[in-house]
Amino acid sequence: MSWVFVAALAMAALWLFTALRAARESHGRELTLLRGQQAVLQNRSLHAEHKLKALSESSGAGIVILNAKGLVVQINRAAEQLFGLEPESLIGHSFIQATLSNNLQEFALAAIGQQQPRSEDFKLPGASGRILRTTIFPFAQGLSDEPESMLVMVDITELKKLETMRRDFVANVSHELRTPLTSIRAMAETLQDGALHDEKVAMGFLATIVKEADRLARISEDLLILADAESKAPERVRFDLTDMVREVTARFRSESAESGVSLATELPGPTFISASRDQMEQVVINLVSNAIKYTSRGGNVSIEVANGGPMVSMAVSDTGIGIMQEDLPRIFERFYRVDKARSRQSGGTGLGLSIVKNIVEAHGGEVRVASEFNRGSCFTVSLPSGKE
Amino acid sequence: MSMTRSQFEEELEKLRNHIITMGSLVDRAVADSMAALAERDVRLAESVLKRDDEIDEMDLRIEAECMRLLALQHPLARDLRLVGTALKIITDLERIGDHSVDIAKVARKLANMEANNDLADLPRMASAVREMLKNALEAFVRHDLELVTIAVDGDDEVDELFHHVRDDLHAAMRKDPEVVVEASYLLFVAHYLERMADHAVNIAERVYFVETGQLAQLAKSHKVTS
Repeated sequence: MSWVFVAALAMAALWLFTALRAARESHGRELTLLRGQQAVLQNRSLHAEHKLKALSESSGAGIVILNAKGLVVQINRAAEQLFGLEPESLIGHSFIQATLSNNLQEFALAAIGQQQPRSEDFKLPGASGRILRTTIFPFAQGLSDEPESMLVMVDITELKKLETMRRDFVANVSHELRTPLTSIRAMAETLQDGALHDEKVAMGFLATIVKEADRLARISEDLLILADAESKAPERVRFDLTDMVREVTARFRSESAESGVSLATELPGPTFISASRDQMEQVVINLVSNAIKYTSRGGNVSIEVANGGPMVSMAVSDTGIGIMQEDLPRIFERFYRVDKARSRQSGGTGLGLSIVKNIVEAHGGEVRVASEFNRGSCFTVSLPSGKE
Repeated sequence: MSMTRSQFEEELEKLRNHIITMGSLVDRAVADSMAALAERDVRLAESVLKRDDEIDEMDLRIEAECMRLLALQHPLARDLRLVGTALKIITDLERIGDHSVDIAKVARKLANMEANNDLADLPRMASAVREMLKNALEAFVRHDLELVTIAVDGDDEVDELFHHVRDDLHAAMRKDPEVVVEASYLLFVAHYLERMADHAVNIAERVYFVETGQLAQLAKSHKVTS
């Protein structure tokens, strides 16, 4: 009986041992599988982290991750450059130490724990008035299992400046177009109301209507020239600037004689440049016509071309009314007129110098002005020489 | 109640952040008071006046924070200089805030008058002051002596602009007696801005003290006194 019991016990032990070994082997296999899966997951997470880092580093926008206390957890290079920070110097510090803006800090802190992303523009302290378009994306659970938020910042200062310029430009254009239109309408209405029957008065009004219509045409023409100069690359050809200046100046001989202004040129031999001939002609026309327009009877206008070296220069100087120092920085702005009444009276559109500047700069050159009030002005255009 | 070194470091960091927050409120007060003056905007001027209470509260809160640190932690060397400097900086910031209130009051007064709206170079002066303040505060958080120099040098520009504004306003008054009242108010504004620049210099000099241990009159003479 006892050997039967011992044999049964041995059998049971054997079965238990086999079962245990099988279980251990199966567990080991599962463990290996789990470890493998963990490694894959770890790799994936590492890969995702690298991808996220590469994405954030390659982004032109400043990206900062803040924890619930408003301390910086992560920051990309663009954000560090935005605030002029040393690499990683802001990690663990409050974000306000970079922005110095309490408003931005409050905006960031208020968004933590919220659901929806929010966006707002912030003007930073200081004279530069930098504006950051800031979007905040809150995460309920960040890397540290606590709520975090990601701030994405783009410097839109230039964009805002351009927006303001565009708005001002549209306002100026509509003002400039409205002035002659109002005048034309008023004259036409007066003619309708009976002035048509008084021939002398009617002729005067009609002359004004024609003059104002011409002004409208000049403004639209100048606007088109300006738009062309701004949007298209110049169609360059190689030509002789001296020859062109001589030709354009000849066209102004009768106008200057009528105004009692002497027109002199000092031109060297052939001076080749590679530029749009039509646009350069426009530059010379605008500068010479301005010089004659703002010089009183008995005064002088001279045009000088100089070559030699990598640049060619053309200077148009006059002994006219000159420009006050305070106006000098603004004379190239569109529709800026030093003397509004005089400029309109003489048929100016307020776009002439702006056209000159745009054309010259599109050719890689520059325009400089030197002027003394009541003594005269000198506009100098420098352009790359077209030597072969 | 004593703290560990890291807790103390955390407290100093908080103190720094509170000063920057106060600086930001003050910068906004300067900007808004000048905008109220330029736009003749009474509501904006009133909001500057109202927000000054917030600046005053911060001044008191930071002062209490400094006192608590001095009493409980007995800071030494650089830490002591930092806490002492914080006390001085908040006084200068509070004064700049007060001058913004003065400008807001002028804006409110001029808004109710027939005024020609020509502010001469006052907006440029205000810009230069804000840049000095920004540089001084940035020098404080970044321990940057170069920014201290830039902030202090800004005072020359403000002084020069002050003289221009003053001369322009005197000339305008001589030319047209009608503008005397408005111009005299604007002279006050120029004076407030000039004083703000002096406070910004004080802040920069204090940052220099924290970083170097030397008390120096950096403006003009750049003389080290001790």
